Amino acid sequence: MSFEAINQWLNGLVYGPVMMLVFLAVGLYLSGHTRFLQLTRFGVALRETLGAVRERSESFGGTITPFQAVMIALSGTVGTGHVVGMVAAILSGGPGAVLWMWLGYAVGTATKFAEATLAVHFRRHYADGSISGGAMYYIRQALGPRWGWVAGLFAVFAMFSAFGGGNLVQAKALSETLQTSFQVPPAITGLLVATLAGVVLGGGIVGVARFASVVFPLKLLLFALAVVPLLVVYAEKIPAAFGLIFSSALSLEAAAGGAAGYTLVQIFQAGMGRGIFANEAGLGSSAFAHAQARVDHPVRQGLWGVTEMLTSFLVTTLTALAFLASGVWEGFLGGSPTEAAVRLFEAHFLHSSVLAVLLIVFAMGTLITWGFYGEEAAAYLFGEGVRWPFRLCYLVLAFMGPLGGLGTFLSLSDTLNGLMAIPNLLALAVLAGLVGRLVRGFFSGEAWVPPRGRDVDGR
Amino acid sequence: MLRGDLKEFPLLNLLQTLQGSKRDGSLYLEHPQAPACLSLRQGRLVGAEAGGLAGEHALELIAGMRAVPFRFEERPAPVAHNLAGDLAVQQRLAQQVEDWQALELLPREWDEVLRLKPRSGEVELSLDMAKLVTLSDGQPVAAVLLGAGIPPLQAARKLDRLLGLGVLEARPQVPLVRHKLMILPLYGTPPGVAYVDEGLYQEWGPRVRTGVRLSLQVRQGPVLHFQVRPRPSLAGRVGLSDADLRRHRLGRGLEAEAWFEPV
Repeated sequence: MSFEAINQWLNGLVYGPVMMLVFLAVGLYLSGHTRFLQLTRFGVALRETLGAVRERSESFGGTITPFQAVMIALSGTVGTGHVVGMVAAILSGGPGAVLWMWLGYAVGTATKFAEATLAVHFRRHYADGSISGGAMYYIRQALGPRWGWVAGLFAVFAMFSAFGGGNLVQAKALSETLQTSFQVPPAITGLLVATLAGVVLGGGIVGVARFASVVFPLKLLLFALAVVPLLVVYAEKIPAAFGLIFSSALSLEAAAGGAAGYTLVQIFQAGMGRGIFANEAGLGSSAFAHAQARVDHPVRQGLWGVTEMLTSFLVTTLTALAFLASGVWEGFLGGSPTEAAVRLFEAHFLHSSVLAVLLIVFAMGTLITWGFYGEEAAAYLFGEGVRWPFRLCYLVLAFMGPLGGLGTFLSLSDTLNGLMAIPNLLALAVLAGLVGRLVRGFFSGEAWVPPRGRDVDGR
Repeated sequence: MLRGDLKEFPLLNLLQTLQGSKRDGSLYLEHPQAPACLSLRQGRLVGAEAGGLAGEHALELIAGMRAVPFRFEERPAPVAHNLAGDLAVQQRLAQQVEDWQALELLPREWDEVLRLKPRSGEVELSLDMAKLVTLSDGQPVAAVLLGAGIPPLQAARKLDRLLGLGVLEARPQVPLVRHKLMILPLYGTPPGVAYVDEGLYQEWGPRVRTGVRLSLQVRQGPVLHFQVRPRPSLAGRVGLSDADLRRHRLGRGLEAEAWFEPV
């Protein structure tokens, strides 16, 4: 069996229906332990997060605020997949895929909540006030020192995902958009991307937080500018689009192969794939960002995870509604998602240039955030001294991304990205009881007691 | 120059040391309410001044001082000469120190304010005691010791008795420092209780023997009073129960002026 064949088999496994069911099962298990907090405490989550936006720059005495941490996480999560990926999901699974995506979000919210909560609970404090955190720390805690290598394996997966999907893919997408829409040569794009990434990543967590706090609101603004006019243009057809989502997902016609020719498995796989992988709940990536926030209680940061999912949900859903209401999807079934997205935005008063700008900002935000994630993973594996060498490698790849090539590495990194979920979901399942206890403690007024040994000096 | 604090180097030990080395000079006691000076010649006490008092009365007051920074400056000749009795002065001072130590209720910190105790029962007082009560109400301990018109030790004994009878109470003077804190909702905590960061609580709690409460004011609104408890990781925040937030129409993220008051 060749390397490519092994990689392809693994890729099919980690992004396949069986793994999706595992995601769903762990999400439901965590929902049970948290008493479906994502629904029963949804109001509290909104008050704790959107209601706290006015204190976005007020930390609890630490380096970055809970708001900035979620901006980093969202900047990494809400990327091109939320627009082009959503379009692709509808093209491969039909309108019914959207309903399964919603289900994926509903269940995945508990997973994201648990990741953010545990990231804060098990992070490590250093004497200079800095923090190191991520899924590795709770994986190690869940599996015990004997299985500590699994946490290391997660860090390896995260580091290579950062190089591949987080960096090369984003830099290439950015370059292609700039070349097509504004005729910018790839080498120039590479140079610009590497320079910007170098400046931001060189500033450490504070630099990344500042960047994300500007870029993510800009992303949302651009997204609104891109999608709201389309929703206005197709306003009359939106109720019908909703109807289509439910009828396609639930009707026997669809299950039997239906008019559009989708099987239930296809619909489930396309929709659930978006509902799981677009928001990265279960991959453990955003735990790197949430761990950095200074809060009085891990559950308070977990509630930011709920809002993170809500934001991601709104972006994908509004894209899906605009796409379905436009009717463009019918002409592109089984076709290219990028071309379909370009056709969708032709109805926009700024035409497809709005899509180009949107994708550029989305890709740049993701590239920077994953640079930070990768750096944290590398520091976990090799110590603090690796930070600058890692940054240099990252910048070289950011320059090379637009130039193309490295197809095998990209394919491998995509698989490794998917593999991050296995140790992460395993740890989340083991620690579900602890998450439940933390939730009950938070809502019964108990102060948070961090686990012992979380400081490097052993306090 | 010799420097130190009476807390670590009690007055009698200090004077014995100076006597042993037969020093000439002045021992300055930097008491915040009653700055004092003892004059020494050949190591023997010959003069005393304290908070405007001089001679025996000053010596009595000095005998009651604890935890006061001091410095000894050598001079060719002492300036004041108002204590008589040579070696007997030191013996009198030792007796006075003992008498002060026997006063159990009089606060060691003379900046504490004396007040008539509310709801105290019926007590019969002699005329001079009643006068002292009138004079003491609202005054710091130091002001009464210095201005009662009777020797300081005698005034101290009477104050101690009045405190024992429950006629007076002593409250520490807590400086009013306003902190800007952001309101944070806490779920499941009891109403009427505010939580502040451990660090901030440590700064204020130990200053007040009788306990503290937290007063809060948001946007020039009414002043709200809460019991106060410490909690970790609440820097810059004041945690209030969800019920209190609803009752007072407060929201998270609002900036409040908060200050500690003695209970």
